[in-house]
Amino acid sequence: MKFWSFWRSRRQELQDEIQNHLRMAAADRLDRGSSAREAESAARREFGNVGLVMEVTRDQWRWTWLEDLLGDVRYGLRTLRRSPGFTAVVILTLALGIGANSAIFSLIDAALLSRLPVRDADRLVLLEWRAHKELAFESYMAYGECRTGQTSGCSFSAPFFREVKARGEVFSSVAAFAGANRLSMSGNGPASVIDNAEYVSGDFFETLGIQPAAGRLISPEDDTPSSTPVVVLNYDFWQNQFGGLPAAIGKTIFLNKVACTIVGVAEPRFNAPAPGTTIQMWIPLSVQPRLQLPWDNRELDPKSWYLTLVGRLKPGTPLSQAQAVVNTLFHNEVTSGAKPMAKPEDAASLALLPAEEGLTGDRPEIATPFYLLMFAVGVVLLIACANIAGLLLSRATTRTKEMALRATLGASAGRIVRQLLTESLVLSLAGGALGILFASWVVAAIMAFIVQNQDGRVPFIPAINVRVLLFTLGVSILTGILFGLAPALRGIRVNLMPALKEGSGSSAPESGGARRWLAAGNGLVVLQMTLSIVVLAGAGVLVRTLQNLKRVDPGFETRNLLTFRLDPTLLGYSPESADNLYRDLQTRLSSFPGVRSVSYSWTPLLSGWLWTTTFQLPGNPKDKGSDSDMFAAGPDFFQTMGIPLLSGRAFGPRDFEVAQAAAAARAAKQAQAAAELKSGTKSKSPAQPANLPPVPLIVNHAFVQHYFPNQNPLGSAAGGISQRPGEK
Amino acid sequence: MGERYQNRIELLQGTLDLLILQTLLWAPRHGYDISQTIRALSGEVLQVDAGSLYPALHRLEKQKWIASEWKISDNKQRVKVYRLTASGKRRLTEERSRWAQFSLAIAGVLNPARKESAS
Repeated sequence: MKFWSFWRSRRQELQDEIQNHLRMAAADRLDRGSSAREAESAARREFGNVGLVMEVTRDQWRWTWLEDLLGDVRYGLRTLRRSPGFTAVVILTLALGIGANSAIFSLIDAALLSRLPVRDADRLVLLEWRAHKELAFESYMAYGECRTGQTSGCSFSAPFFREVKARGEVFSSVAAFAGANRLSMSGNGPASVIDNAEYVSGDFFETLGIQPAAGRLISPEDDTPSSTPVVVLNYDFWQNQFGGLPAAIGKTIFLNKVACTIVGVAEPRFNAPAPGTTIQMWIPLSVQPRLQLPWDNRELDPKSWYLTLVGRLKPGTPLSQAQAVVNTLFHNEVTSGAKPMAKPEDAASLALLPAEEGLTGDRPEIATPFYLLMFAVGVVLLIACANIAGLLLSRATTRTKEMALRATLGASAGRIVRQLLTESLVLSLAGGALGILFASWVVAAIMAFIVQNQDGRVPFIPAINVRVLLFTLGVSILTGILFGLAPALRGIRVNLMPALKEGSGSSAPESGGARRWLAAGNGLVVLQMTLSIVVLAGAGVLVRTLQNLKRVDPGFETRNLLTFRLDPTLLGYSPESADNLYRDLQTRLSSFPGVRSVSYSWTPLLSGWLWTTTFQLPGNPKDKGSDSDMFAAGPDFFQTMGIPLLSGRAFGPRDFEVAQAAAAARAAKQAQAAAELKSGTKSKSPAQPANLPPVPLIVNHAFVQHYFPNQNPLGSAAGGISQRPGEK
Repeated sequence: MGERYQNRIELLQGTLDLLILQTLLWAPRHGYDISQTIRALSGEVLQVDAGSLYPALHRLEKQKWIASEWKISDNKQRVKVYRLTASGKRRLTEERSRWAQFSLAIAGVLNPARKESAS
């Protein structure tokens, strides 16, 4: 290598120069009559430390640091190779600590810290309503984009969206979006299920400022009742399902058997308006009624709230001014009309939140376990560091003699510190590199675990990115400096003479400095033990909790119970024919040998999905409603699940007929309401279910204790629907 | 060993550069020669430490005030010889006038009586 030979020759020249100096000095002394030996030693004495002079001179060249660094690294590697056990333990410990931290940091970064990938995010606002009391909704749907409670939320009605669009002159554009029910997709290989689609208004992408990665995005022309259905794909979805082929643009796919054309792909970094979700495809809002059964009339009903609204503020419009304008619109909307949704004292108001802040997604829910994990791995890293510090300290103790020797041979304090620092940096960088490898395994393992427990939906895709790499690198280097410096300082402070006189191995134990260092070592051990106990105790508590959870009685028989899920509406079954399918399946599965009982329900028990219903108890005033979770069960449900009935009876065939009749009546009423909304006239004869028998209900023990203390609930009525036998 | 060095004077920061440049003004010299010349001209008072001399030589060379080349000496030895460059000569002039100013200033401080009596 040219570079090396250059430095070598320059070094050699300096050495020659100094040797010449010594030779001439000795020659002079010889001339003056000294003996040859005397002359030479006198010349050397006068010259001083040759190594030191050379080093100081070379410092003048600059760049020597690079040469020194390379030398130090090589020397460090050599010493480390001489103690492979020590090296392996330190590198593995570091890799564990850094790997665990990088993995958790990657996950947190992907799940919690990611920014909303839109243009000028600070001009984008989310509309959020607040009130003292829940408003009188016909229906209210939220899709987990923002915090939603009884008295606040970010869903609005379609009429209000149109109102804001028409009169909200403070916005340069306003967009609406809503989650979609599960869709079936065919026309691209085997039929599959789309779990996360999103209906968006025509100016959704324009408002957010998203660019297409291929083709074009949804435009306002796509969002009219007469336009041909189009879809825009998520980038990853396009890559995975369509091989990222440009030919996918223009292709027709069938969503719930409706032909839709793929017109484009959104840019790669945009997965969803809210973090924590990945939307697979976007569909114009106007296409929705064609894809899904119109269970209500939500495009026209001002009391059906389901749209999330975001607006882009006009340049120069302050947030407060925009808020005042939109709030007035909102106030009119909810307090006017024949049956206002809110009374003036409810103080219903609208706030504009920066979209990045308001669209929290799943963030709050995943945050807590992640912070717990972060704490745990942080402690693990601390333990690792303490461990390494202890190892380096003890190693420094055994190396005191080496350091003393180096100091006597003319190595400056700074040089020794640099040497030791390089050595520990080499160690920690090696640990860091291994840690990154380890981290990618941990991330893969955690993601596999999440996917397994997440019902097929991956909430976010973590990757070891630049930020994480920098973090890891920072941690490695900091550890290296911190724990390389301590022994280095010890190395130069040591008293040379006793250290040199000592036999091989132990240092100068009689010096006070050494005792202090041993004390530091003891402190490290104490710290390490404390942290280990904290982590162990935490892990123990977690394991105990998990064990206890496993032993909790869910209230039904879990042994020999198999469950599966199907959604025939995706294949175009109407609610009635789906009902028949369920019954048919029940009969046929029951006839299998070894099957004791078969039933079906709306969702599986303990899935976390429940409907909530409001009802009135007899004798209570009309505006005082109560809330309860509701669960729709099929025939033989209690028998199949092994849920004991405390009193009354289970549902019989007659009960299901009654419920079906009631459902049909409700559907007719909704259809009529829809027709009224469309025509704008009020029908004279309200379609009241005439003398329908009450729908039977079964309530649980907790319900009875709360609403019927010390009474027999059997036969009581609740709300418009009366309840009948059965108590679990 | 302290005794042998008693007569020496610690060189002021920066004066070594001036002395080296001055010794090179009339003839190129090698490192040992420079140290001996300074010693002889100062009447054995100024003794240049090798640990200061060589770093200084390499620093001055890096600043292009002196240049070096390997030559064969009178007694057939390969030696590194330094000579003054054109910019080194300019530098020497500057350093000399700075030194003159400096010693005048010192003299003024040490012998204030003259000035006071004049006023």
